[in-house]
Amino acid sequence: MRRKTTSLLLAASCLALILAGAPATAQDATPQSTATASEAARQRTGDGTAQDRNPLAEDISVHADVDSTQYLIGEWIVLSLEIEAPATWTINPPVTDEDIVNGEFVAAEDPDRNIEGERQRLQQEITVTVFDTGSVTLGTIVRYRVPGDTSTYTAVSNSIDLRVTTVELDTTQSFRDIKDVMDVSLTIWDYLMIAGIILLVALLLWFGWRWYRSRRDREETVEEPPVPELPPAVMALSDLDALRAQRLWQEGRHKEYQSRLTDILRTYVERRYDVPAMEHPTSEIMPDVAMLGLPSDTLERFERVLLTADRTKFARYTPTAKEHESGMQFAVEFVESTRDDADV
Amino acid sequence: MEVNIQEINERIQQESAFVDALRMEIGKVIIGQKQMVERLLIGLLGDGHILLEGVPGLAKTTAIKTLAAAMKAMFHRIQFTPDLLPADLIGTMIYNQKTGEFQTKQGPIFANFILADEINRSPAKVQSALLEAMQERQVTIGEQTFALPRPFLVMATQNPIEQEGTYPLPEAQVDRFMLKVKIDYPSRDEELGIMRQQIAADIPVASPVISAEDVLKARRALHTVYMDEKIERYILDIVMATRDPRQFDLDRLSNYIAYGGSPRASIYLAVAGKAHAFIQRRGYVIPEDIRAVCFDVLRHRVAVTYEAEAEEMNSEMIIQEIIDTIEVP
Repeated sequence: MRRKTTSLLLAASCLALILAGAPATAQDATPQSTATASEAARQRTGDGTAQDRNPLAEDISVHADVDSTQYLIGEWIVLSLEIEAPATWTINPPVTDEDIVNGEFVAAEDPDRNIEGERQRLQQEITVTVFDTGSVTLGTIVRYRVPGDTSTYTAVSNSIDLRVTTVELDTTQSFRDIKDVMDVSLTIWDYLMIAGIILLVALLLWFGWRWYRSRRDREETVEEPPVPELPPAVMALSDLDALRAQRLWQEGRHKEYQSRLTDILRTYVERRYDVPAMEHPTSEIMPDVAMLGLPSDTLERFERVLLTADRTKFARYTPTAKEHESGMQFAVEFVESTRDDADV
Repeated sequence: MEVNIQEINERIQQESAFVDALRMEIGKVIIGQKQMVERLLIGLLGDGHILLEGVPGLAKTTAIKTLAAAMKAMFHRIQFTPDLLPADLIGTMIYNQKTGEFQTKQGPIFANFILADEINRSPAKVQSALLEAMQERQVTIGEQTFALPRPFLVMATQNPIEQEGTYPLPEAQVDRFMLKVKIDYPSRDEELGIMRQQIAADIPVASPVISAEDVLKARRALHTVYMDEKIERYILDIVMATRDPRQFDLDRLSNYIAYGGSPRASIYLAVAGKAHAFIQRRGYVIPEDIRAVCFDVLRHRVAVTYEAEAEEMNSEMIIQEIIDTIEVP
């Protein structure tokens, strides 16, 4: 039993001697799959110059630095990170809490990468925080990949010793309530801005109104002046004269003549008595015309003229010369006898 | 081609002589409902079919039954129900155990006059079977095609109330009806006459006054009724106004019309106009004929929008506004 204890102490002494003899500028780099070796290496790092058994480790160096060694609990600590490695390697600087030893990751700025021959240099500022008080040893882990190797290796930076203090509470004072919402009074600039907005809106309204007025005036000027309409009787008599002068039925254009004749009569009735004669057929015009109080003889002749025209228009009837002439004669007499006195 | 209107007029006067006799015979049984009887004659002469809308008890069945009796033609009434099948209508093949063969059993559609009562109570497949027969005028049962008897007139009825549980006819199928006639209650005097007639000891029955051959002959004569180009243009104006009211200064209506009359509207307006002239015993068409049938031809062919419904506008109001705006030739 005593012999066994002596052997163990000897082995531990040898390991201590090997570790104590490690040079200060060495680095630590192990494959991620061998987490215990990495962890051990991280623990070994003292002033940021540890050494590792991994043959790749000698090619990468990670150096972290801070502005101060005194911080309050939870205060943001800006770590200036400088990584040097072969140019072909892929370097992944710290991005999570797991990449910060004894601290918590807050944010990271974009790395500044410079290539110098076959080497690359990355400089990056990382914000971390610590929620433990007392002496804290801070460090960061950088992950990297080597071309032609699928493993991800880790390199640990030098460790930084910080003194983190907590906020002193004055327990002699009583508790105080939360402060009220502060009342911020308007400054002269605020008043000027409000006045400016009002002025701008007023200007826009004024320009809009001017634009609308000019457009309206333009439209009004474009409109043609209304042509004064001739009184119904004057127009009807004038149209009848024109129709007679055209001598349509004498040229065998019976249908056209009868259509024009009845159209003149129907238009006159529509304008003179407000009877929708143009939109109604004979059978529907007659009841309306009968209500105008015209003599029965006039009504009969009026209907006869319309029916003759209907037969001419829709049944290819050829009226006699007498029918044409009597139709024209009746139309003239009808207009003259029913014309409004004001039209004269 | 030179048209001799006088000759046409005389021919129509002769051919249409039966119309008065038919009217009188129908008038013996049906009191009032002159418009419905006239539309039945227009459908019969125009070789079209009629969709009738009216509340129950307005002599719809009696009218078509009387017309069949006055013509000595075959009449069948088919009550459309939700469980009706196309085979119940057109017929089916029945296995004869004695002969060991299938025999054709013709359905009730094989008649000159069909009253399809409450057509919207049956599902679409039955409606389609009827409407197809109406259009083709023939029916196929098994592998055999049978021509329907001529004349063949379907008068389908729809009840404007109790719409729950019905199968409204799709627009495309409604379009196949030449006329959609709306009938209303008889006047007070007419109803008094109906009441007295129905409680009398002898209820009058129509006797045959014409034959099916007379109707077919009249149909041939109908084609000779003269329609002037001005009337044709008037028809087109009316139908076009249902499609694009803005063309006719009817901008207000453009928001109310979902779609207007199809080319069938123009065709049936012309045919119905001629038939109207024929039953007036005239050999040519005048604007009055077109206006008389305008509502019955167009009311089911002009679909109104939701906006129109919200404004309580219906197709009849739209048609009225159109014919009140378009100038009569």
